[in-house]
Amino acid sequence: MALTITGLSKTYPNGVKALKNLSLSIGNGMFGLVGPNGAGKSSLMRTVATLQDPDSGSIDLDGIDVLRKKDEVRRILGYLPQEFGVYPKISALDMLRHIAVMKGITSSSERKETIDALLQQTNLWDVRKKALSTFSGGMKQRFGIAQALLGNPRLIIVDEPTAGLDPAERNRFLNLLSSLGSDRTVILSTHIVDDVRQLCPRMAIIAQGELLLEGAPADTLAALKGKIWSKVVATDDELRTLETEVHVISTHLVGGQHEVRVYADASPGNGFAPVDSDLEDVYFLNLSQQVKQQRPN
Amino acid sequence: MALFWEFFTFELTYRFKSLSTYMYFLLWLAFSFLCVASESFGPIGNSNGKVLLNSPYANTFNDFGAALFGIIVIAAIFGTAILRDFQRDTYQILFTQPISKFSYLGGRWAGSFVTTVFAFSGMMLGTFIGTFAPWADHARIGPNHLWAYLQPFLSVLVVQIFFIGSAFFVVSALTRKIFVVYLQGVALFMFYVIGITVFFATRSLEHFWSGIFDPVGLVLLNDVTRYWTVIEKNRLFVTWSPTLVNGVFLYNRLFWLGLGVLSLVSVWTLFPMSVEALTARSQGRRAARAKEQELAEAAPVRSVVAAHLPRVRQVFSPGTTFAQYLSLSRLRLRSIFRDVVFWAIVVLLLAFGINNGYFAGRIAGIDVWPVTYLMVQAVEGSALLFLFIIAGLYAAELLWRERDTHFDGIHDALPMGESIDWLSRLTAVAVVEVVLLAFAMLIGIVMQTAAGYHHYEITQYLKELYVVTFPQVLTFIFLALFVQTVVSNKFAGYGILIGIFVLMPILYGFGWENTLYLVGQIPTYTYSDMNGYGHFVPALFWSITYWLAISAVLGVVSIAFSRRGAEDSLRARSRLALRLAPRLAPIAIVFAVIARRRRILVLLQHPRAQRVPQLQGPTRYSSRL
Repeated sequence: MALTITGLSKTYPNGVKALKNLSLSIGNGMFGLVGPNGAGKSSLMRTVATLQDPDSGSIDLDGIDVLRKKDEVRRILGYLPQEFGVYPKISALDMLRHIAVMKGITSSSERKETIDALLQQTNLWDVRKKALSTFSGGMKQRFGIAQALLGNPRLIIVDEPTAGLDPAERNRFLNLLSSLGSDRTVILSTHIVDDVRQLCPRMAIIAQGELLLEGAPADTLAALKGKIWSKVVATDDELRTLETEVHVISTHLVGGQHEVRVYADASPGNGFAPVDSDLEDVYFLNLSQQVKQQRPN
Repeated sequence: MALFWEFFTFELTYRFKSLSTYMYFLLWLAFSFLCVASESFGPIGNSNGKVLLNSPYANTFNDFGAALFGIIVIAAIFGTAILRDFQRDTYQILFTQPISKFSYLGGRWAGSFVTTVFAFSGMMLGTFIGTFAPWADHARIGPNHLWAYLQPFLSVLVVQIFFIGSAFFVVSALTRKIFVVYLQGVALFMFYVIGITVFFATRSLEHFWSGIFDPVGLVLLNDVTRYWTVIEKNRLFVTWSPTLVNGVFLYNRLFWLGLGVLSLVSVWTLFPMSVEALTARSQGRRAARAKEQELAEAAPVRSVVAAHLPRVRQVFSPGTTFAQYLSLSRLRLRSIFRDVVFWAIVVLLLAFGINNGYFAGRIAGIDVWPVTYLMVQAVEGSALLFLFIIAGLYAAELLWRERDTHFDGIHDALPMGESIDWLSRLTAVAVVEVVLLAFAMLIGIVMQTAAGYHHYEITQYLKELYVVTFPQVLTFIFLALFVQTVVSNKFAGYGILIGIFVLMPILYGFGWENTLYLVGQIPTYTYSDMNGYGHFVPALFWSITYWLAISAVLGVVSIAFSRRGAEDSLRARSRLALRLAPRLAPIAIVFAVIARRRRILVLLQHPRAQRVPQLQGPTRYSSRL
């Protein structure tokens, strides 16, 4: 299974450029898509999920033209939108049955088997007969996951799936995703960099509709080895001066004080200590570089 | 007081930014305009030919009528003033501020009151403009006097708005459920209509208490002006004088104003100004949910290792398409049957059916057997409006359901054709209508039995309800689905549909009687127990075929314009629809063939045009002699 996205551009009627000539190829296995809010992640996901047409560009899924042959894509697609609601007064079980029929699972015994398994997996078995509208946020999210996995989809698109899940459920869901096997494509969008580190052999960072980086998390980490420096600063003024002098990629609050992380080939001196780079550094470095390039000097 | 002013002006600004306020204003303007400009439109124009259309009496009468039919408008404005905070969850922000009960409730109430008074002031303007219509019958339009407009407006409409509005305000503030508010409005309207039927059926000569306790005023006005001559109707005002017909008007106004004040006092004392009390029920629900989660945590810990999901086979065959269609239809049908509003309408349909069925055997005050054709007329007549309401309401609900509930992201990505999706919506509404028609038939049979008449003609019921009436309702469903597909907002769609629905009889009244141009209308026909539908059969058959053919075209166009995916602007959908357009060619040809059948045109010609050959008949006959 391979998904090839070529030169995708999209401008919304209100003038927002959501995608700018974006090209990406995604193979089998888990693929992580990270980026800040409004980066164009959801636009990209919606386009692949046949819900939206780009202004230009093409998407190819193993020889299927995704933009033209939408119905063929929908047959092998499992999609969890970023935000979704549910019909009132319908139970989880009834709704899953309905979606199973829609996804072409015609044998009723297979339908029952797969729905039961999904309800168990998503820990909704006990509440399966309750109305979806009474579900809490986490329960609703788990229902969304269950419906996306119905019918063994070969292309799974999950848009910020771990939002609203507690840590235990999040772990369980990530396990479920990773167990789905390597013979299908799973695209996972998130702004939690940790999700990607745990799950994805490959990832991409997008911001303002552009692709900033594509590769394996391990490789990108290796490239930063020994180039990330950290220092704790006491005052805002000190932080401001640092920002002008060195390439600050992020700050974290540690016990009320700013821990500054800086990207530099050699030690920036005065009190900086080398630290292990993590995936968040990769993310912030790419974002800050994009901002720098756009700033007219 | 400053805070009151703040709430009051906020409410006004909010209302006057909303399109609906102006729509209501225009509605009353159009209504009163037509009452004057078209002599065959309003009740005054239709009745005694010498009462001036802009006389104080006419204005008083029309204002009472507007207050009756405007109950739902009053409910829409007053009912949502407090409710809004609870629908949009702004109450949590609001009630953590230091606001006083008086300024909050008072400001909202006063703002709604002024808005409603503005909306209904369209009545005065419409009448005034109507008097200048060049085509109007100027023999029936007197000189304009400001007081002849203002006095009825102040003593009828403003008072009605005050106490009916306050009643809605109380109920909505205390229950905080929009459903209850609308139910209250519909119930008030229906009970009044039924009550007035019953009251007039008793032919009572009681003209004092009946007038005082009349909340809407039709009985009241009848009591006051019952013995007025035309001259009096054109000159006298219905005043608050205690000597005018024993002061029945004065006491009525005082009684209902008092009730209005009472409801305001009760809302002021009973409304709790704390988030905790206001959301007591949801608090309970939250507690229940927390308990549930506790139980879930206490449950045995599941393995974090995910088991493999069973493999399934996916089959996409015509059989699957049919299964999808059934599943979708079932889902949509269930959502209607589980809607409380639906059952409220069914109860009203039942009440009206029983009421009308009871009078089915009474023709011009004489009791006859409630034979089937009389009974079917009675129960169908009472049910028809509800059938159209259900059609318009649920066509819209089902068409917008995915978007309203934000389920569209999942729904639209499912592997199904747009036509299956659309057909399932049509099927669901149509099935509901079929069931309701069966209800109407059942009421008819029960009422016949109650009257001691046992010769039930089931085939006559079936013919009239399912062959003649059902296609009309079906046409309206098609139209509603089409309109809701094209518009970008559900409520705009409702507005257009109501407009079309109201416009048809008006156009007919203006002499535009050709049913080929009146949406969904069929020629008038008479059923007789002697020769059935007689010579009306071909006209009915062709006109029903004609409208169903147009409906089918609308249906196909609606499917082509279906909303699917994130981009649902009309422009984006037109692009897609144009791509599909060539596939419509065969249907267009069939349609053209049907429409060109001259035979239909002759049969459906309006009654006045048919007079010509009728007149020519004798001349031709005599020339042959």
